[in-house]
Amino acid sequence: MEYFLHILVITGIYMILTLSLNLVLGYTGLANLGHAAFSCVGAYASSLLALNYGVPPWIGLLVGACTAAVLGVVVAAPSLRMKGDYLALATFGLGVIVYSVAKNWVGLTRGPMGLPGIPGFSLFGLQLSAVWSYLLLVTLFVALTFFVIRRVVTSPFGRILRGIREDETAALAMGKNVNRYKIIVFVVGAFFAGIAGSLYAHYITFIDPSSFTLMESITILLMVVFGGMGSLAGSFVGASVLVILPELLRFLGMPSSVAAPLRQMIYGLLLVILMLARPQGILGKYRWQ
Amino acid sequence: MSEAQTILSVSALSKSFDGVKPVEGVSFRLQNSRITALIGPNGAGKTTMFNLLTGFLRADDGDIHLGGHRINRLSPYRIARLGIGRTFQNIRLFPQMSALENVLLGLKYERGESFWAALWQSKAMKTEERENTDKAVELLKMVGLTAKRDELAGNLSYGQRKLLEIARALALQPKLLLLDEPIAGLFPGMIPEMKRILRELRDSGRTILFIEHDMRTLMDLAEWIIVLNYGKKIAEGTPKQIQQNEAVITAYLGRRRQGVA
Amino acid sequence: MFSQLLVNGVTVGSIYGLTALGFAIIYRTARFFHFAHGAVYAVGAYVAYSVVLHWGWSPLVAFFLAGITAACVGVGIEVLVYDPLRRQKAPTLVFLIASFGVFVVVQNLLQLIYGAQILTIRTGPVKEGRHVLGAVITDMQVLILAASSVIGIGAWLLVQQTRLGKATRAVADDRLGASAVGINPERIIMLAFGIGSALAGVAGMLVAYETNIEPTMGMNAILKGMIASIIGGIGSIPGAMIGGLFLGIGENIGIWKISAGWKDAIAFAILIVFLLVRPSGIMGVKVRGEWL
Repeated sequence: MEYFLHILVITGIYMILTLSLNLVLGYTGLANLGHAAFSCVGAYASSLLALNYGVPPWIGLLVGACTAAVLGVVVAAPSLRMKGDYLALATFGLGVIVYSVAKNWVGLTRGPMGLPGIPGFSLFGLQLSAVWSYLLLVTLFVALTFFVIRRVVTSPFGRILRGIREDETAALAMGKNVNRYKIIVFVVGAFFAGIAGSLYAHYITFIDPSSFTLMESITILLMVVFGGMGSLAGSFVGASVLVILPELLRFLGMPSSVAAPLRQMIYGLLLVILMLARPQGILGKYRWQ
Repeated sequence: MSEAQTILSVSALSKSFDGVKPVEGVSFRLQNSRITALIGPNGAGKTTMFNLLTGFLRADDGDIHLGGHRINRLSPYRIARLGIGRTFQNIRLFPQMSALENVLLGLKYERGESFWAALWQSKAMKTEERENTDKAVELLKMVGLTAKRDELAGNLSYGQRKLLEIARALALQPKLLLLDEPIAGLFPGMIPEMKRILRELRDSGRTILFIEHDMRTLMDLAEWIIVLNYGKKIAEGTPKQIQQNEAVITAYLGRRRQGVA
Repeated sequence: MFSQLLVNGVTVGSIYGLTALGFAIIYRTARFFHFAHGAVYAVGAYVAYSVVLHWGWSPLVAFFLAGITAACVGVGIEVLVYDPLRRQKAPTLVFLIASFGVFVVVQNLLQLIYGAQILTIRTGPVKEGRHVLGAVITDMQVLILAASSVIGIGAWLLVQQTRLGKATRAVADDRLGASAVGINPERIIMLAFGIGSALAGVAGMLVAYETNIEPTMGMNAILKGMIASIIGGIGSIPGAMIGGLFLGIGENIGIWKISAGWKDAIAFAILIVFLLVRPSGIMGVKVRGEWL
C-alpha cells in the first residue's frame, strides 16, 4: 500500500515537470531538451540551504524555484536566436553543463556522492514523514501548477504563445514581441520544474546528479509528447503512464540487469511508434507543422 | 507631392548578402491614401524591399522614414505597432487556429498580453477580450468571412486565406498596408471583390503598397507604380506613364527575349 | 606538455571527425540530425569485439564487418523509420525525436546482448608508445590517425568528384529537381546512410581498440560528432574533420586547465558559443531558413 502511495507521489512530481515542459514545448513550440536541469537546480538549491544553513524546506522550495527561474532566462537566450534542431541541441547542451556542475563541483554539491539526509517538510513543528502526507503536499502543488498554467494558456497571452508556435514570423508581423514571450515561458516553466525538484529532494531525502541526467529530460519530453503537446490533460496521462508502466514491469519479476535496459527500450520504442503513428500524442490536437 | 502628404519615404536604400545585391540605392515616397504598386521582373528585389520596410531585414545603407520617424533599426514587431501591416507572398497564417483567433492575434491587448494579467484574469481583461472579439468579427465581416469565423485557417480555400491575412493585418489598425501579391492565385471571379475591398480601404484613409504580377489587374487598381529591376528603381509614375516607359518595356521584354519568363 | 596535448587532441579529434564525417554525409542528404548515428557507432564497436574475441578472426575482418554491419543498421533505420516519416512530411523535430527513440532502442539492445560491463578488445599488454617531438604516441594512435585521414580524404573525394557524390548534393538542395533529372532520391539517401553509418561503425571499431567498449559509448560519440559537425560547418565534409580536430584539441586543452570531469561541459560550451556567434561554423556553411 505504501509502495503504491509512493508511486503516486512520484507520478505527481512528474506531472508538475510534464505540465511545465508542456507550456514551453507544447504550447509555445520551443524545443527544450534540458528541462531536468531546472529541477536539478531547484533540488540542489533547496537541499543545500536546508543542510548547510538550516533553512526550512518551504522557503528552500521557493528559493529553489526562483533560482531555477533565473536559469530559465539563461536557457531562453539561445531560443531567441535559433529554432528546431539547433535549439534542441543547445538546450540539451545546457542541460549537460548543469549536470556537469552537479557532478564535478564537489565542493558545492558533493558530486556523485550526493546529498544525504535532506530534511523533510515540517508543519507546525512536526516533521512530515508519512507518505500520504507527501502525497497530499504533492497533489497541492500539482493542482497549483495546473491552475496557473491553465489560466495562462486559456488567456489572450496563451493565444499569442500558440501563435508563436505556429508561425513566429507572422506573430512578429502582428506586433508581438516574441522574444519577451519566449523568456517568460522559459522562466515560468523553469520555476515549476524547480518546485518539482525541491519536492523530490525533500521527499526522497537524498539527491545525486544521477537523478537529473539527459535521460531524465528525455523522459519528461516523452511524457509531454506521449500525452499530447498542447494538452494539459495529456500531460497528466503522459506522466501517469510513463511512471506506472515501468513499475508494472517490475512485477514481472525480471532481474534488474534485464529490467533496466528493457524499460528504456520500451521508452525508445514508444517514441518511435508515436512519431510514426500519432505524433500529436494521445490527447493532443496540435499536429506538428 | 508635399511633405505632409508623404506617409513613407525611402532614400538610397541598399541591401546585399551572399554576394547578391537585391536592393541597391532605391528611393521613393509613398503618398497618403493612395494605392501604389511595386512591380518588376522576378528577382527584382520586391519582397526584399518589403522585408526591409517591415524590419525583417536590416538595410546596409539608406533610410526609411514613416511619418517622420526613422524606422531603419526597429525590430519587426515595433514597426508593426507603429502602423505598418503586411501580408506574405506565401501566406503566413496560423493554420491550426480559427479565423477569428487569427484576427484576434493582430489586435492590441493592453491587458491580455501581460503574464500577470493573464493569471489574474481581471474583469477589465475579460471586457477587453469581449471588445476585441467584436472588433475581430467586424474585420471578418469586412472581408466577407463571417461564416468562417470558427473554421481552422488551414482549412480555408486559397482565396479565403488571402482575405483572412488581410483582415488580420487590418487588426493592427495600420496606416500603411504592404500586400505581397494579393491577387495572384485568386479564382478570377474573386478578383473584383478583392479590388473593391482594397479601394474601400484606400477610401477610408489607408495607404496601400502592393506587389503584383498580374498586369491587367494592377494597371487598373494602382494609382501610382514604382518599377524595380535588378534591385534598382528604373521608373515611377502613373500606370499610363509606366506602360509607355522605355526602360520598363525593355526590362520586361528583354527578359522574355532571353527566354526567361 | 603541449605536444602531448596535441597528440591526444588530434587522435581523439580524428575519431570525432570520422563520426562527424558520417553524420555530415547523412545530414547533407537527409537534412536532419540523425541522433541514432551514435548507436550505429556502438554497433561497430561491439561487432568488432565479437569478431575478434568470440569468433577469433583478425582485426582486419573486424574492421570490415564493423563497417558493413553498421551500414546495414543505418540503412535499416532509414528504411523502417525515416522513410515513412518523410512520406508523411513530418517536420525535422519529429525526425529528431524518432531518431532519439531509435538510439535508445539500439543502445539498450546492445546492453541486453552484451551486458552493461566495460569490455576490451586488447588481447596483450599495452605496448609502450614511441617518443615523437616530446610526446608519447602509441601505435594504435598512429593507426587511428592514418586510418581517419585516409578515410576522410577518400570520403571528401567521393562526394566532391564522383557523380554519386554530386547526386547527394543535388538531392539535398532540391529533391524534386533531382528526381526530375533522373536521380532517385530514396536510393541516394539510402546510399548516404550506408556510407555514413559505415564510417561510424569503423570509428567505433577503432575506439574499441584504443580504449574500451560500453553500452553508453554511443551517446558520447554522437554528441561529440554533432558538435564537431556544427563547429566545422554543418554538412561540410572538410568541416566535419576540421571540427573534430578543433573539438578534440579544445577539449584536451580544457581538461588540462580544468579537471577531466568537465570534458562534456566544455564541449557543449564550445558548441553554444559557436551557435551564438558563428552558426555557420568554421567553414562558413550557409545555414538556411531555420534562423530568424
